[in-house]
Amino acid sequence: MRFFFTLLGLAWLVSAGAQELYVFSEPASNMPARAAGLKYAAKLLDGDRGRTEQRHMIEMQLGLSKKWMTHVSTSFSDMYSNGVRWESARIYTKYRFISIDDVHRHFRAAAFGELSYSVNYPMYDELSLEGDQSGARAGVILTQLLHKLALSSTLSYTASLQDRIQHIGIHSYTYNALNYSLSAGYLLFPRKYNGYGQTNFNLYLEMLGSRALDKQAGFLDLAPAVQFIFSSNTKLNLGYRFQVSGDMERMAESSFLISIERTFLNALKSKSP
Amino acid sequence: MMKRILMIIMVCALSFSADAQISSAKLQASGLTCAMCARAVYKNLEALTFVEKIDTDLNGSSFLLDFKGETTVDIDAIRKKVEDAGFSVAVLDLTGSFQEVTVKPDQHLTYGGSVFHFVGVKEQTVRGDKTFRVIDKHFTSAKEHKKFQGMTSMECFKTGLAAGCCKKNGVEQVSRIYHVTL
Repeated sequence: MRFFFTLLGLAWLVSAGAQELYVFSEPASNMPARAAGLKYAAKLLDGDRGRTEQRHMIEMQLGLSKKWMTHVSTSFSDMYSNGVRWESARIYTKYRFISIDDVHRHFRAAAFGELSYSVNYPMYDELSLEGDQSGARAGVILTQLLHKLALSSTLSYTASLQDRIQHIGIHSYTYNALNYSLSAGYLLFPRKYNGYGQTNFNLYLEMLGSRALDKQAGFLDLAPAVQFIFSSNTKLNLGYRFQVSGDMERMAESSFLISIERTFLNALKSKSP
Repeated sequence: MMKRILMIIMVCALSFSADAQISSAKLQASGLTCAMCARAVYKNLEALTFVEKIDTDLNGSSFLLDFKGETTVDIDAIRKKVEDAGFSVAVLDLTGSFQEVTVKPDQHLTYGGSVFHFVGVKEQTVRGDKTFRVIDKHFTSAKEHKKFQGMTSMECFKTGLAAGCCKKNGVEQVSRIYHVTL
């Protein structure tokens, strides 16, 4: 833990630099118009059944226009079953409504909406649409790029859209929550560019929080991550997320995330010259 | 013999003037730092049919574009490609070869298939390779655009489209006019 803080401190010291291709959240910036992306992510955690549980997610990303983009994804896991099985489908869409650019700088604001369908019956208070439950989420994102450093914040509202099994003796569940995040990304390498083929190395630190609206419960997580970008088109992300404070009923207080993402530019047809 | 040489020179000169077009451009994009973002701009620009070759300066987010001969360079299409990648044009400098043209403030000049309106220039004769900067909205910073706005009273500067003010120069209304400076 101290190691990550040291790492982040170093990153800030090396002065202004950065990236906003966050590992645990989305920036307000969009992917290029007519681009497509493919992402695979795996989440690993030690569940309360005394074994390592896993979730595998496959996502397709589409840049519908310079302002609109959408993600469609599906997930498989053994978090609510004995073996890995299909559990959810999700659609996410984001609209960038402010974009102020300057050389090596920008400020962007975007609004997003998300819908998920899951076959799971979650027994936790944490609302998560990445596979755990059926629900809806909407929010706004603000992102500021300052040369190699990118800062972003997200505020969103999540609602669970499914009935819960009421276990005897268990308190009432959370159905509505406010989620917030503050993310920082820093482009550490290369210090100087000489081509598109150079591998880029980015450091991230994200704060991810949630507060239930229908009961007294919440949590705040810290999530450091590293990212390699190969050939300016493939990202490899490694992250660890852990709770720093909280009193919410959760599946786990820490988890690992590994994901790989490939962008295909001009994958969709263009009408212009 | 002398006559023949003169003829050759004249034919060369004529074909040269007929070929008058923008040969290259230096574009600086804004809103990005990383190579992945620059690659999106590069790939979009590469898709333009009139672009021959692109050299990138990743550290400066700049792109040096060489255009194909005998094609019309669509300047707005260049901007659109940068914006579609998710970014903006910070600077666009166009380079073309001029035989001998007199440039005056608020003068319209048809060159390489586009109409240019010179702002903030002294009356002068240009010849040889000349670079001029586009100062229309979305081709430069808002601050820079505003600075030049004070140098012309012509309405077309605000919209980039020919207005009543342009009629005296023989330009059709509502056609695209690129405002440039030397």
